[in-house]
Order: sequence, then structure tokens, then C-alpha cells
Amino acid sequence: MDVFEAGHQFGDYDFQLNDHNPGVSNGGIFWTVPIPQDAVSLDLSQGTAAFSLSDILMPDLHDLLTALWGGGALDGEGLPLHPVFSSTVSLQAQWFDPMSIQQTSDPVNMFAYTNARTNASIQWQSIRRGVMFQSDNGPQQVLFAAVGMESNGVFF
Amino acid sequence: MKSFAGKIQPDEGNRPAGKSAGLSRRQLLTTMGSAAAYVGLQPLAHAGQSVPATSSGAFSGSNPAPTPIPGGFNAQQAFGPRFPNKFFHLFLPGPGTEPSTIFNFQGKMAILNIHGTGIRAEFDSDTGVMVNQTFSLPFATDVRFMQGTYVGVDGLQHQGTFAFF
Repeated sequence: MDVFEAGHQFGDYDFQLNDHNPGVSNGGIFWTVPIPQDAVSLDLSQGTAAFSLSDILMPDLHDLLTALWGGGALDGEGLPLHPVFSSTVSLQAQWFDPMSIQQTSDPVNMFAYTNARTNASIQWQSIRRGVMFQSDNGPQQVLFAAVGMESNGVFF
Repeated sequence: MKSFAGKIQPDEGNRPAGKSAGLSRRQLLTTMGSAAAYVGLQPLAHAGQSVPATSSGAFSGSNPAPTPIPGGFNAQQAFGPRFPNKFFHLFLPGPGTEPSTIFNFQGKMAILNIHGTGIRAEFDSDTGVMVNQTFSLPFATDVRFMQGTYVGVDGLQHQGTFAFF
């Protein structure tokens, strides 16, 4: 969950202000953590879903470069990385207005995903010592949103 | 979530007082404790401290951890020499790419990739007084959740709910 200086966007990590993610687990799980079962709901027949969490503790790694190093002192060219701070994130996300059904089956990566592309929106907030960010009521650009069923690995 | 513009009154740890996400303080603390237990991280009282950037404790106290998808990207190859020469198990969101980050999984899956804007406020770390406020800063989110059956690192099937941020 990234915040950028005015006029910049995803990918402009030199102009990033916040990068909230839970890190990579020792087993290699990327920015993914278990959450309470009732934090999410998904109605396949309606093509809708919702996700709500309040004040989960999630480090602020400042930018993508620092985040992929997992924190630390220097990057690959010996330039200093930004410090990592404890922070909390709250979010409410909704998926709605389902469109056509799409099916993907990828034997190379061993996954199948049947989904409905949807519209979506998100409201979120992050707090750390000295800094607070909250999404506003401005327009949001949905680059990709979908709800569905996936099976991979032994279930593929 | 209510707008905080011009309303922030920091309290302990410079954390703004009052409600968040439409919850009372009691509800918020209860929910917070529940969520914190799931992600295995530290209490909010420690917010603001510089911390190690790892979620190694996130799966403690819950079902056995899942395993990562085999696919993904090498950060140095994808983004350049400043990035680590390390493989990460994730595909970017989009049609035809795998949305799940966990392997041997079967269940519900939702994914969104949204760009928008928000308000950023900065506070004096000693006094808690707001010293700067910037409107309409761009944000980018890639949020996903997975709920269903997975095979854990123990080789057994479990039920679980996971989120990618």
C-alpha cells in the first residue's frame, strides 16, 4: 500500500513516501499474512466481495526498493536505504458490478482461476509516529479487480 | 473511515485520538488486538519505532504456514541493479496472471489494483502538533484475499484466510 509524492505513481520508488506491507516470511510467502475469517466475504453468485480490517500492525518500509531489501542499510549500488517504521493500517475494500466471466488455466504455473472482472473501491488509512495518511473521496482508477475461485498446485 | 482533515488531536504515541473506520475506541482496540494476534505482530503501543521488516512471526499461533507459489520475479532483473538479486513469489495483478501468493490452495479469491489520492499529515514527534498537511497525494494499492483449503508446510490440509497487501 503505497503513497507517492505529487505527480508520481507506482514504480517511481525514488518519489515514494510510504510502503506498507507485512514483509516476506521465512518460508518465502510474499507480503501475505493470515487474517480473521470474518474480515472477508465473497458472494460468487452476486459477483461481490468485501474486505475490512482495522489497525493491523504493518511496517512502513517507505518505498519499494527498501521493501524488497526487507530493510537494511544499503542498496545494491551502496546507496543508503530508508529506515523501517512500525505502523498500523486500516482498510475497507469492496468489489461490485461484476462483468463477464473469465477462465484462466495455466499448466506451467499450475493454477486455474475462474473469475468475474468487477468494479472496486478502497478506503484506507495508515498511522505511524509522526505521519498519518488517509485516502480521500476523490476518483479512483481501477486498473484490475476480480472475484472468483482459484485452485493451484495439488488442487489444479 | 472518517476524514481527519483538521481534526487530528494526537494522544499516546502521537496516535490520533478518536474513531477509526467507524469504530469506537473500545471496538477499535478489540478489533486491533484480534487482528494483531492473527498477524503475529507487536502491540500498537510500539507504533513509531524502527523495526525489522519481516513477517516471520505472522504465522505463529495460527495453522501451519502455507507454501509460496513457485512462480514470481527476480527483483534485480525486473527493476535494476539497486534491487536485490532475489526471487520473490508474486505475479503482478492483471488478466491471465496468478492472483494467489500461496500454493496448493483451493478457494475464494479476490484481487484489486487501484490508484487514488489521499491526505497526508505530519506531526511534531515531541509535541504531537500537526506541522504539515498535503492533499491529493497519489496512492497505489494491490490488495488480495484468499479463503479456502491449503496444504501447509506440514503437508496436511487446513482451512485458512489470508490477505496480500
